[in-house]
Amino acid sequence: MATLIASSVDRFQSRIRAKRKPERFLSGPRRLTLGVIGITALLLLWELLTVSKVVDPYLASSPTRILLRSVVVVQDGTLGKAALSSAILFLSGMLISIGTGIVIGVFLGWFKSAMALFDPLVSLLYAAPRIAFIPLLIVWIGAGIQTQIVMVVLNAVFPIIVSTMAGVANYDRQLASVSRSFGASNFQLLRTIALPGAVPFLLSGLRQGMMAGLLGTVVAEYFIGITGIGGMIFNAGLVLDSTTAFVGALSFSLAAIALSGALNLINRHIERWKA
Amino acid sequence: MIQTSESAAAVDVPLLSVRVLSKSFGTKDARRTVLAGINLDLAQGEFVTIIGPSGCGKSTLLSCLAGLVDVDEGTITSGGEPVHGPGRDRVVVFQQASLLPWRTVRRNIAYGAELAGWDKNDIKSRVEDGIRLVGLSGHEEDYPSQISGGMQQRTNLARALVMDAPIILMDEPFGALDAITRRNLQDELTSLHRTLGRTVVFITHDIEEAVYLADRVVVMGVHPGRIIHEEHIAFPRPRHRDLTNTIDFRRTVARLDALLHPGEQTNRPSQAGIPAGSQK
Repeated sequence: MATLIASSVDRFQSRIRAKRKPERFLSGPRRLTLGVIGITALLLLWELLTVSKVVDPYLASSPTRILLRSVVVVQDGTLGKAALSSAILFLSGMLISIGTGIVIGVFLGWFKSAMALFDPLVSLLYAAPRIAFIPLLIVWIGAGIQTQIVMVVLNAVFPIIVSTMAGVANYDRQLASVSRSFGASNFQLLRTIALPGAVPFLLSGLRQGMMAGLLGTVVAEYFIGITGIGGMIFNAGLVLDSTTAFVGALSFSLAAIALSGALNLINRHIERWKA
Repeated sequence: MIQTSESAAAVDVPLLSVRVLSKSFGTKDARRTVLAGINLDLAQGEFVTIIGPSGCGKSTLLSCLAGLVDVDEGTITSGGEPVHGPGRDRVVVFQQASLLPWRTVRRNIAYGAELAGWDKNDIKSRVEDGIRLVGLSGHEEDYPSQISGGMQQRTNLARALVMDAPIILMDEPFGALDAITRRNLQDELTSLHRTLGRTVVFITHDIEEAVYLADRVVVMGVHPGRIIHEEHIAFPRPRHRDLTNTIDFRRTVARLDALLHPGEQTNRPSQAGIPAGSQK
């Protein structure tokens, strides 16, 4: 009886399967072509709408204006200067976040009572919109680059802490028994089992942290000191210069994509042992 | 002359000795006795297999011997010294190959030796020996995900062998392998045991495997986990596959099978020797 039911269920499911559209991934070149077509179509539409004055080119800008302005700001050095300033802010914030994030994450992940003690605090800070602390930060530290860096760190550090902590705390128990059976000390267990096992977690935390750090950079440049590319966008907005604002926003997008690609490469190298 | 005196000593003084060992798990209200009054002696170089139905505590016993689990009552001594925790005199080969996925075969085999803090050159030469011993040459730089289950288990075995511990504790090491790979590894293990002369405790639920490998088969029963029978296996070594087709071998397997399944009379000799798990 049971087998009869099972077999009819089987048949039913295979009918559903037959009807469903076959799930295939598009090949790399085809995906790339379609992606380029999508973006080109959008840019063309945008250009057409502004040339035909359907939308106000002064407010909406246009692809050609953005391209021409990009050339100008690259040539006169304003974009380079702004980008350098943003990069310094972002990178110093990220370095601090990665360093402290990993140390705190490993510490909290390894020592259960430390985790119990600090986990609520971390969750609270992680959940809070960090932008809300800006006035306090300015009162405490001023409105210089230190405060901007603190803002980047406040955004970037929590994903790194939380992922590292989860990775270290959830080390493979079976591998741990092997390690123990060879007489491993606690520190050896941490170094040879928990830390290598936490690397994939750490990398995903880094990815989230990097994107949050980029956001923190923009926020810091808008609200703490009007500097870098964020400042460029902010100032352009004040004078309704939408073209420059677009150039700035686009720079951030490209930076994000480049960072993500770099992390993918690192990821592939580190996790080459995965099947 | 020296050899004789050594083997005489080996018979007199057990290398590994378990006395009235008991172990239970659980809280005070719901206590479950897993092992009760276990007595077991292993002579130098002896190969002992332990069989028993699931839940008889054979894996727990092995964990106690490994020092991974504390005993409630009784004592375990190894080479005359009481066992407290893991030690360099014993190594464990787990059922899961349990290789570190981010280490190559070579670095996995070196793992225990690295933890022990041995000299780098010493580790290197031993690891090379280990690789050759278990037949992994050519796969040294592969990651565990790139090799078959059988090769993973060879790596696991090599990792234990390089430690040079006199006692090897094996917890169903071939349980998850396919039949052909399992037989190959059984054959290699018997010949390794002959050349290396280590003392082995080998847990399995496969009666045939137990008889084929062992000098002595220890049969455990359930509720509570205890030793119900010990059988000396006198088949001469080196042993070969043909042995498993002899009447004596089949009879031994059938006798042990009857002990493990007292309800079913073994008047069906063709059924004897099929591992307990596959009889439905």
